[in-house]
Amino acid sequence: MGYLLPKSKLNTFLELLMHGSSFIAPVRRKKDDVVVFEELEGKTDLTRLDFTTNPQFTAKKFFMPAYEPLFTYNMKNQKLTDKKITARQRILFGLRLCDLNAVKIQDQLFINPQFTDDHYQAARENIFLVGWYCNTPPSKFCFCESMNLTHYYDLMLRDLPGKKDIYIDVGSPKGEILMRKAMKLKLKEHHEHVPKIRTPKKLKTHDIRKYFDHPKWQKTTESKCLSCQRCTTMCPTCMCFDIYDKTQTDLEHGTRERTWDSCHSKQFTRVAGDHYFRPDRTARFKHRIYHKIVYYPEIFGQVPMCTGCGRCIEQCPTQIDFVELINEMEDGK
Amino acid sequence: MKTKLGQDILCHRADMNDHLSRLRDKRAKGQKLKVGVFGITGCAGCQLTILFSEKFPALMDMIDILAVPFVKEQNYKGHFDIIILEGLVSSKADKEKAEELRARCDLLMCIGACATHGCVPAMKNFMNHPEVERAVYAKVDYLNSLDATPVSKHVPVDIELPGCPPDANQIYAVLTDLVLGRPPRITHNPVCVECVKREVDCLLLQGKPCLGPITVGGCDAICTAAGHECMGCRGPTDDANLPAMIQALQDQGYKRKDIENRLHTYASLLVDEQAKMQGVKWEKKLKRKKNG
Repeated sequence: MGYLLPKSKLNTFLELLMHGSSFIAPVRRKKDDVVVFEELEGKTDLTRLDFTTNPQFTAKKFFMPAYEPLFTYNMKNQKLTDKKITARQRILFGLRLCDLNAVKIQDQLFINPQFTDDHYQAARENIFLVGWYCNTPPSKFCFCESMNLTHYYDLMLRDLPGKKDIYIDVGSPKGEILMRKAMKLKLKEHHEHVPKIRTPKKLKTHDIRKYFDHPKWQKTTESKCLSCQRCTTMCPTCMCFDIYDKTQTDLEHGTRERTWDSCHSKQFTRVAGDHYFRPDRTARFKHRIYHKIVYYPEIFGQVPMCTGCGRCIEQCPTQIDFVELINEMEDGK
Repeated sequence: MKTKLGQDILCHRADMNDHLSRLRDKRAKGQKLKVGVFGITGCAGCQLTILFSEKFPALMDMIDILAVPFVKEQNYKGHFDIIILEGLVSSKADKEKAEELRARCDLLMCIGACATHGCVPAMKNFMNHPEVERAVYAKVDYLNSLDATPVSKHVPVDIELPGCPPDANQIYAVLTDLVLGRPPRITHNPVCVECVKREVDCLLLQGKPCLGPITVGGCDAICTAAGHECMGCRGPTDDANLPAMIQALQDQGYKRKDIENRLHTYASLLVDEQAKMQGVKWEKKLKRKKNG
């Protein structure tokens, strides 16, 4: 099920979607020329849209902000006040398929029968996911072809190559609701298959258990990994967090906050008694990769946690390429 | 108990919990903590970070600041619960002062890169002392100078908050925790974490000689967010990968000598210690002279 939208009418279509809800889209930041997800202030901001590259920073902050207050407390009268979870309707536009699948993974973790994170759920329920299809991979580090991505979106826009139309694929009932906003355009119904994205870079195998003791891990991390945690903080699926209390200097009022944390931090693996489970850099690096590719599918089915967006490679200060690393092991180099 | 440079816990004392429970008792009885702010060799900038913060009036309500020789004449002469100390040991007088202050408090909290890592003054350890002294002072016979070393080299230190200058918010958060009798939260994560959370474009990838990946955070990436590369004023993280960092900067086209100079700016002693452990050989000739 889908619609055809003439390319010339894209801005009109987006203006209609924008109406009545906050609209977040990839724009080029003026101060440093970096593409980021930002809330648009109005129709005029539509001219700043940029689809040439995948936004450098992920959209996970709209589901779980880097610093998120959970509740406030008053120690004097022993009262807790839940942070008002504001249910603002938000449209996230321009997510690539990798980032959409990252949302799927976060949904699996934070909204499931055993455990539901209220803050995440409230944010998630009010977000509409409108994707942007990659006709060509936006970065040479993309390797999503190897990561079994599924169609997980409300709407997906595909700029049909060589044609004058954009194909809008409706992926969920929420997508139907969203399309009603654009009823006025009287778009032609159309159906077409959204093809799999092809990327030049590929991960040759997911079966990496046999390489657990491979000397290459140690060699690479010792010579290159700075343990700066940029990879995990940049990752759209990394969801570890830390919780702490922030008491004000009046010693009465305070906030309990959570913030992103990272398995690449030595402090992260510290437990009572000052014991470190993974004091070794290599063990921490390996744990990230194995969690993404081996441990996660073992629990949640055959889909790996990594979605192949390539940010952890592109944004690594020393450009450690774990895909290349595994491929080399597979090739027996 | 011994404290040494490079220990990975910034709260050092094994009996920290006893102290914290004592602080809780004091609060339950409605007593305020007795706090003193002192300085030895340093620029006094760290003391100013405390005094200039907009939270200072609230701090006055929270604790009793009984001594700040830097700004007041009449100072409490007795025993303190917490002493906040700025500056490093660079002379015999400093050493005696540090020992005296240690004996006069339960918890010693060192703030600033000088007190924790040696900062800029520690550069003189790699030069000839008489030469340095003569270059700066007209008369040198009264100086009695020692190697410039962090306080923890001489007396046990309980809490260290690095930075040049240290982050006022962090100092206030730690003091609040202590007043409540909670173990203070001091981050050990590198600056990069806070940098990404603020969505700053990586300066290292832009080709600037940023030391963020190996520098302890807690500063909210204030420099990098303003477009200036991290100079490493908060000292290296406990598991800083120095060979990889040096290689990364060399790959950007920086000269080995310049990289070494930068690494030695704020935390020369700790960097040296870590380099020794990781087998890094400095190209720069470091003449570590025994100057007494």
